[in-house]
Amino acid sequence: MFRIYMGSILSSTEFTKFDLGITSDRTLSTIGRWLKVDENGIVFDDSNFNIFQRRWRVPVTLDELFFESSNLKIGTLYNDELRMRDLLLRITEFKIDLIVGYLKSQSYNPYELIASGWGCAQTTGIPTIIVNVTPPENVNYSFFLKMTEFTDGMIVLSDRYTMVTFSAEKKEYTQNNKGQAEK
Amino acid sequence: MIFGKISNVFRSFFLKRKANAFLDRPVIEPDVFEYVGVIQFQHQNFKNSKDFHTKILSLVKVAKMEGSQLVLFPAGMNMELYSVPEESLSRNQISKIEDECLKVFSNVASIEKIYVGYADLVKGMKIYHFINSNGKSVEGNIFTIYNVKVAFMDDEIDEDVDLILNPCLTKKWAGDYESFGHAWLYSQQKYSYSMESYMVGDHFTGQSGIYAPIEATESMSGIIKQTQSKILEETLVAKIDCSILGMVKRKKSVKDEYARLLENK
Repeated sequence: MFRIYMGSILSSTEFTKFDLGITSDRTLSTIGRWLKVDENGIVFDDSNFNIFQRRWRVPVTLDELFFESSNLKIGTLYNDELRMRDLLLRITEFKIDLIVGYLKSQSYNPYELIASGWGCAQTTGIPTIIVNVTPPENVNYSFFLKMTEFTDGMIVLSDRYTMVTFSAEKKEYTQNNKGQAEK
Repeated sequence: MIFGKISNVFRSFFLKRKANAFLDRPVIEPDVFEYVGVIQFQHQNFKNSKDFHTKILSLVKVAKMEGSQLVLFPAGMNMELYSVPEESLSRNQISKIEDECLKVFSNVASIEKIYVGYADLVKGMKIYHFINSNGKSVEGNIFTIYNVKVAFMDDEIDEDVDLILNPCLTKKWAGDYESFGHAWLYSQQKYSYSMESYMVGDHFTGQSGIYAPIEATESMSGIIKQTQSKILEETLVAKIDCSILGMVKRKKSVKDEYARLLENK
C-alpha cells in the first residue's frame, strides 16, 4: 500500500508516515521522497537528492515522461497533455502506476479539473493526481480513478492538503482525511 | 350592417392574402448547419412498423419545429421491432428487422428533409446508420453537412471532426459525476461538439445531452443541454457554432507539436 500526501511541506507535519509527498513547494526537504511540481516542471527529490527532473516542454521521446521509484512507475503530464487523447492512449502501453499532472487555470473550474484529471484516469485507467494552480498563488490537489461499478472515480476533487492510499498491485484506493491518517 | 359587410370583405381579403403568402412562399432551406437535436427515446416494443413509423415521425417533427437539422436517436432502435427476444431470432430475421428499421428512418428523413443518426444493436454490437436529408443511407466514417464534419464516436478516427454522435443503449450509475461520461469527455479531449442519446424506460436509464469543449461554453461546463430525466422521454435541440469551435481548436493546436512524438514507436 502506498500512502501519498498531497499539499504543502509545512502542512505535511500533520500527517505521520507517507511514502511519497506531492507538493508545489520548492523549499528544501531533507526527509522523505517528494515530487515537486510547479510552473517550470517536475522534480523528484529523495531526501534532497534530485533523481528525476522534467522541464515542461514537448518531449522528444515518450520515455521523458516517466520515472520509477520504490517499484512505483510514475508518469508526468503538463496542462494540455492531460486532455490529449492520442497521447493518453499511448501511455497505457508503458504500465504506469500513477500519473501526476500539473494544471494551470485562470480560475477554479471543477469542469476543467474533471476534463483533465478524471478524463485522464478514464482514458488511461491509471490513478491520476492533479496539482491545480490558480491565480494569485492558490494550489489545490485532486485524485481521480477509473470509474467502476462502485465508484465514480472522484476521490478528491480539490483539497489544499490531504492523503490518499493505494495499492499499485491490487488497485485498491482509499482517501484518508487528517483524522484517519493520524490513527 | 354596412360596416359589418365592409369588415367581412376586408377580413376575407387579408385572410386570403395571408394564406397565399404562406402557400406561395418558397421553402427556404437553411444554408448553414446550426441546430441539432437529440431524442431520449422511451423504449416500447412496437406491434408493427407502422406504429413505429408514426412514433419516429412525431418525434422528428417536434425536433424539426424547434429548428433541428440533424436528429440523433439512441442505439438499439431495431430492438423496438422485435416481437421475441433476440436469441430466438435467426440471423435472417434480424437482418430483415434492421432493413425495416432503416426504411422507417429513411422515410422520415425524406419527409422532414432532415439528417438522422441512430444505431442498431445486434448481439451487443452497434451498427451505425447515418441518413441524409433525402432519405438515403450514407456509407463511410465521416459525413459532411454543409462544411461540418460529423462522425460516430470511435477512436479509430484520426481526422479532426466537428461533431461526434454517440447513440447509446443504457447507462449504469455509479454517482452523480457519471453524467460527464463518454461524449462529454470525448468533446473535452477532441475539442469537438458531441451528441449522446440514450434509450430510457423499462429497465433502461440514461441521460442524453449535447456537449462542447468547456472553452466553447459560456458556463465553462462543456454542457450545452442535458435531459432533466434519466427515465423519461425528452427531446433536446441546441444551436452549435463551429466557428467558435475553430477558435478553440486553433488555441489548442499543441497537438501538432506532439504529432512527431506520437509517430515514434
